[in-house]
Amino acid sequence: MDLNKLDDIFKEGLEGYSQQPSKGLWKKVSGGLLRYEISHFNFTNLPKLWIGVAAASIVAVSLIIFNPLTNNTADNAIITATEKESPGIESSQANQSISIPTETETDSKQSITGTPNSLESRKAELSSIIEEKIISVDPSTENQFGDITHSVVKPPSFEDESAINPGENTDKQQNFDQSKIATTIVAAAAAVNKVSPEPGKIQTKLINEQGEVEISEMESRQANLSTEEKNREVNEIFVSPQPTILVSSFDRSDHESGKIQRMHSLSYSFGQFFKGKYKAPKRRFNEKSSALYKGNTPYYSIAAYFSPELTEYARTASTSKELSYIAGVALSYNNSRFMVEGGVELSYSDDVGDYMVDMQTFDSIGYYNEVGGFVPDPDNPGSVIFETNMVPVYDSVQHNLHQQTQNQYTYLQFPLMVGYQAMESGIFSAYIKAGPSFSFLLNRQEQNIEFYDPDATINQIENYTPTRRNTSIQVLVSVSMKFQLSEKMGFMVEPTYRYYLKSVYDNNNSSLKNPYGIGVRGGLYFDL
Amino acid sequence: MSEGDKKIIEGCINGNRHAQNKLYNRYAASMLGLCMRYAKSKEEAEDILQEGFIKVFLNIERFRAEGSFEGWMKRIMINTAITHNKQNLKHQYQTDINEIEEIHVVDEGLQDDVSMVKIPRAKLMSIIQSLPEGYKMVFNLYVFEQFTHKEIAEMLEISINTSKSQLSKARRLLTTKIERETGSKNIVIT
Repeated sequence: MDLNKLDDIFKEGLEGYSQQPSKGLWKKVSGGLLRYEISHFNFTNLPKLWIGVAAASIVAVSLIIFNPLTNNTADNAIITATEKESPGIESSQANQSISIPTETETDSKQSITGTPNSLESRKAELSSIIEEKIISVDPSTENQFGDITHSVVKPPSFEDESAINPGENTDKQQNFDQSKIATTIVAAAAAVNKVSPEPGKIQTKLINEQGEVEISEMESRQANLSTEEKNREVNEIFVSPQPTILVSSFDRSDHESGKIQRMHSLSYSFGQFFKGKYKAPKRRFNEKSSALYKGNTPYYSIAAYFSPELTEYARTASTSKELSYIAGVALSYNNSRFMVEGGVELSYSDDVGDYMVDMQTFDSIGYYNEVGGFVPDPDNPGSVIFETNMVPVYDSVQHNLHQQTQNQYTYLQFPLMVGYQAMESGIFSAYIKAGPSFSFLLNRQEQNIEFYDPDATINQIENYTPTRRNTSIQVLVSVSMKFQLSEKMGFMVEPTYRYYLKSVYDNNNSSLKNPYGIGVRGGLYFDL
Repeated sequence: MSEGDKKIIEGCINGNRHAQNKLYNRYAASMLGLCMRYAKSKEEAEDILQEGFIKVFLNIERFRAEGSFEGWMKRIMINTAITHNKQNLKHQYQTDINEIEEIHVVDEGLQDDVSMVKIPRAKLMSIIQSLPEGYKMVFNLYVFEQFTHKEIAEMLEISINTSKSQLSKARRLLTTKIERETGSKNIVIT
């Protein structure tokens, strides 16, 4: 046979010859690629945009969820979140109205802060604040101080002007609403008073920072004290017939806020996943496995995950952000770039219970400086040195305390999502998913408030906690980022956004914002 | 190159498994046909094909679109086949013609013309596959890929004379086989 003819026979016969490979060959090819990619994996090889998006979203969501400053979860029963003053109570004016030397101002603050848990403790606290005041007095008026027995309690509404311009001050006093004057008691340390020539009035001499003597008059009222302070050498104390009381920042909230902060400053550790250097898994690949990268071949995948989620609940009176913990499993059907996923989740959610405690406590409402004696100032002829003692003033004060308890709710949830593979690069892939989630309330643990204060008389405790619905529907949106660790399994990180289509509370207030939550799913998935 | 091909290649460069799968589906059959000529069996050809596709995907960013993508892939497959068989080449080149087992080509065609005999392409392939590895390599590279003996010698790391000798022996063996099956009749490939 001619050699050229032989060549032609084969060329003609086999040129362009094709044959379909076995079905499993693509799995072998993709498995080989996967092995290579895992063994040569490097974060820097991943698409920087997606890695940036993934890292930023994970960090942002983690910060939002785990930042203790944004977490206002109340702890068990007796946690005072806020104290609402009774109508007419003006807080912190005492400090604002002080126009006296700094030293005295400091004392004033000391005397009006803290918790008046008991009378004895108040006395102990305040008796320590005893000072000697050096007051310059005009010699011509020295004889007026002969019968001085106590110092002045200055109404706060006089404020600075009363100390600076006695003339105006006197005018103002006359027009001043007595109810405001009365018991809005503040510190007025370096002060001297004398009994006013008019009955029922006290003329006051105040020494301002420039050393000038200022005189003011004010209405006096018989002190309505019910404590042993009555027995002290007090001529008169200004007490309003209408108990409009200045309770300066003295309530429990300051004291409790530190406690609350400590309780909420739990640090959560997150982001440990990426600390170590990535090492390619030493795994033997089974080339006959049916679970390699499937390419366009449909396949199933099952995932188990855990997700902390921060949910913002809008309520009639307040908005609270509470943590939920969700554990779930999901089965997904993947076909080409699309996937459908259904799952079952158990959600353990926290929420606060709201209570309003209406009570009365016997509080310090201010103080006055009792003059114990005086001696001539040897260094400053014509001046005397007064020895004064701060004496607290107490009265019954009505409080409305907002108390919160922590409630727990357990839900069974069924998320159903569809997803699209937005990108894939080697062992990294990202899906955008969305779909509804149906929640059914399995269990609720709502604590009753147990409020006890030995110094308080409780009038009423009202429960403002809204009732939770038994079912709810949410819309879930997430970006699932998957890292293939081996031919069959990998791990996923999935920031999620959950929007509730209705309030979880059983109320008809449609103006309330629907709750929403953000979380981060982390888990493992297995290709079947 | 079509826009579709460009997109697929871009996807492969980005490591997109779906794009890789598309490329595989598009070229796997023809590349397997090529690999079959260099292998003893379909299983071995698939091994070469698998290895070749992995090389294609891992090196696809080197393809500069100046020539045919299919030609570039073929070259990779051929090189893979050569590498795959290299470890046995030494032994295979020494294979004696008498050691080659008989290929039983069955004439399936109806003999409408007594001077003609029909041979299916698969039969031709099996004849090629039955050649000793050395003969098969040289014959494939010379006849199908149209390399020169010098190029073949460099690729297979043999001398030019060995290449010529292998080709000559391969042709003789193939002639014997063809004649045994067809006699002196003309061949029609089906």
